[in-house]
Amino acid sequence: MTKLFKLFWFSFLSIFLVSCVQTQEIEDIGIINAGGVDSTKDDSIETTLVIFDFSSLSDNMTQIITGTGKTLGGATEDAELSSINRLVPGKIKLTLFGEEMAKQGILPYLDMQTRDARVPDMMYLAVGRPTAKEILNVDESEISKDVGQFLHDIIENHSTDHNVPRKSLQDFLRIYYDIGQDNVLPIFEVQEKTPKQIGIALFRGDQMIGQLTNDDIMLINLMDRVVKDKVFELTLPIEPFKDFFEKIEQPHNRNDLDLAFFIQKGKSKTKLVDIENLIFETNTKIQFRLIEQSASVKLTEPKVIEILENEIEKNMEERFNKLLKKLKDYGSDPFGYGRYYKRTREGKDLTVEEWREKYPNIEVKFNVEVELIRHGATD
Amino acid sequence: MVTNIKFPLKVEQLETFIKSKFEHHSEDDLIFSVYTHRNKKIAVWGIKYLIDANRLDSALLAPLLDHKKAWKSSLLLNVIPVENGVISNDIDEMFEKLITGSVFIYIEGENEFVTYPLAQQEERSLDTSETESVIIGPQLSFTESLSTNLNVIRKILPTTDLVIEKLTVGKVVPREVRIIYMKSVANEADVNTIRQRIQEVDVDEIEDSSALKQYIEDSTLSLFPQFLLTELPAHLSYTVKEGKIGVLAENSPNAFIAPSTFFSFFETTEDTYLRWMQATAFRLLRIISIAIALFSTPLYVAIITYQYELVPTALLVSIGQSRSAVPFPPIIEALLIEMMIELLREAGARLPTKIGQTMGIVGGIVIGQAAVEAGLASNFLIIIVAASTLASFTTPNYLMGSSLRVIRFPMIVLAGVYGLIGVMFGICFLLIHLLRVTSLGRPYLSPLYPLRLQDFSQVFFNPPPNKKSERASMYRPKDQERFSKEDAMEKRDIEE
Repeated sequence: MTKLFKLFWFSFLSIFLVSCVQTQEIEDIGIINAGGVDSTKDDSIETTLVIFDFSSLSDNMTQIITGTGKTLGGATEDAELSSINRLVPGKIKLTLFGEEMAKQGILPYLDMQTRDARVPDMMYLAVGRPTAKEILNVDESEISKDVGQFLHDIIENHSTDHNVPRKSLQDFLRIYYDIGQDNVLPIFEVQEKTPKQIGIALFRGDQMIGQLTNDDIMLINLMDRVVKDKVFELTLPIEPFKDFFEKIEQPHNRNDLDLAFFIQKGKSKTKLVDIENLIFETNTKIQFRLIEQSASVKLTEPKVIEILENEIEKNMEERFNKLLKKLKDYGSDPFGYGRYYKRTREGKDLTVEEWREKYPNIEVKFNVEVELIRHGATD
Repeated sequence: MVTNIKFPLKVEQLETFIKSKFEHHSEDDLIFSVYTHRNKKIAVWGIKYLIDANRLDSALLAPLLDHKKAWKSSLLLNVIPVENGVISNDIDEMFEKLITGSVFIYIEGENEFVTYPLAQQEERSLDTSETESVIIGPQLSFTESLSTNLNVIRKILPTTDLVIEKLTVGKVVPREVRIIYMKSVANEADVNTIRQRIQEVDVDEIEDSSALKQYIEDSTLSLFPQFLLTELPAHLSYTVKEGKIGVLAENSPNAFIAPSTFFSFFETTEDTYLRWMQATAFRLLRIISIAIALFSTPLYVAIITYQYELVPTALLVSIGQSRSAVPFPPIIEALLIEMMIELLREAGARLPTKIGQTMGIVGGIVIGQAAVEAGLASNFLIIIVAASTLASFTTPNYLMGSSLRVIRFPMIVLAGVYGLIGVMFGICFLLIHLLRVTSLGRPYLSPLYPLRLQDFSQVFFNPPPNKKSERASMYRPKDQERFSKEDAMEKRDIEE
């Protein structure tokens, strides 16, 4: 009897509950691959969506649709009207915010997306200049890929060699809610019909307040992770190397020496030295390989290596100081010195407002220690 | 009609009696010859097509008629050069022996007759195995003749330790069944269980050992075979050495082995002949293919219907492109192609080899090319179905392979109805079922459950020879040690 009952129950479930689960057959849904959010002049939101539509028989599977509304949900709803299929957000790889939008603050939209369980938390965020719509409407034949995937791959692949900041939705919100650190996002602009990263957007809270150059991201990365396998350029004054050029060399007329390095391993440690006066000390250790130089310096002499290392250290420290000054002017703290302060007993009740007040007054002593480990064969 | 007779009697009376019993049979089939020897009538009878005519003439009739003295029944046994002669007066037994090919001699006036088994055994010769082909190692397979099969087994295992017990099953058609085991190794409780189960089968007849297997299996409702059916004498003898019990039946080219665990269906004798590393790799491959055979198509259906998020974007685009021309939901698409493959397989099994080949090519083209071009299925699904079909054919045992193929269908339906949750539901159902199944009272999923870590190496891998000094403990053999670990492989090479 119980067996019969079980069998009945089983068939009951399979027959009568079949339509309770909503199907999402891939040819009956529009899969959003990337989205853009822009603000319009009349204070509403315009969303641009790159979707995969497998119901059509055309070769081009991606479609770009737009919609406007007062909220992101409303705008998406509006965009759905121009798609044959229901839109689903399960595969969003990237959300681009127009520069205007980013300056107004992006938290409301992120909040909406993070509470929607279907939106992947690993979706990347970026800023589009001048608007997200312009970036997403780039001619796909120029980049031979759909634009959402193209931008996603740029961030994914170049963030491993530390050229592009990679911030997923979850990372961005974690840093946002963490007291004592601020976000940076890549800025894309269409150049020669192709989207390109032209700089780094500096955030204060959820608002974009300024822009850094592409090189600065390495300094920021050096602060919070181990940097490996990164190529970078330096320009040093020629003066200290004057006596050490190879003899065959034509007299060197230029005023500086351009060098390219490959960072084998670089990492930093930050300490709060003086709580009262907010004096920090950041010790950075970098191992690098020299891969290119604009003029041949006698690298066989130990003294040259020493001079080289000293010059680089000086140069790097200078760059750190310059960047910090700029950041202090903006009032944004992507280095995250606030975190070190909050860790202390005195700073444990730190609020965002307090840190914003204190931040411009901090002082950081940068000590860079570099080690040239190889200057022969490069790979 | 004469219902019964009593010895002694006239030869004519006997003839009428026997012929009356044979009323509905062809008269020509019954030979009833009467000879007169030294004034005594001697009747010789038997069934024509069952008797070896040459031996009847040379070994029985010639000495019978050339004899110088008068015959007596007891004298026959001493003089006639045919083995296994029996003196009897049981008429019922006479008829039983008559239809199995015995010849009877009755000397008029005697109180009993003499029986000689002179049956001519019609059997096919020993052949290589068809359903379980092996690449290296013994290729021989069983035939329908029990005596030939026993002969082969004895030849492979020439030891007095090997016990071959005789049992008979079937009320209307009695059939001889043999239990084969190693006395010093096999678990006694298991031997008793299987003997008792066979003895207690109370049916009119059993067709074959695979039919007997179904009568005595632990659970007839289970999806999985609980006793391993094999047609390789080498496989039977190998498992018998491990302490398992083999059962052979007359007229059956298969033996079955009990107890068998789920994973023993994925072992082949070839694993022993290959070098251990390769054998390990292939056995792992076969175990992985269980999952491929069971779950690849259901996962495709579940993911395409419900959980598109799981597919990487680049793959999603290519699946979407091949799906865009298909008008059916994924579950119909998958069932259609799986059905085609099953039709192809079943038709291939029934057709003669020559026609089968042609059909294979036609079926391959229809499924591979035309189904996609006609928009019945996506390219991607064809690949997945092909992989799962291939995986199901890697199972060395045909019964297990067909079990896996059948289980796939409800899994696909579950996937189409509830998505991944349905697939998980199916997996749980299978696991619970496997945990409950027993084979001769021993747990089917051993050594996974109950956990026997010391048996893992022998079940999932094929360890090097010196690590195989112990038999698997999960079958509870009487004697667990195969050989001494230290001495067995010691090499006493002369060093120069």
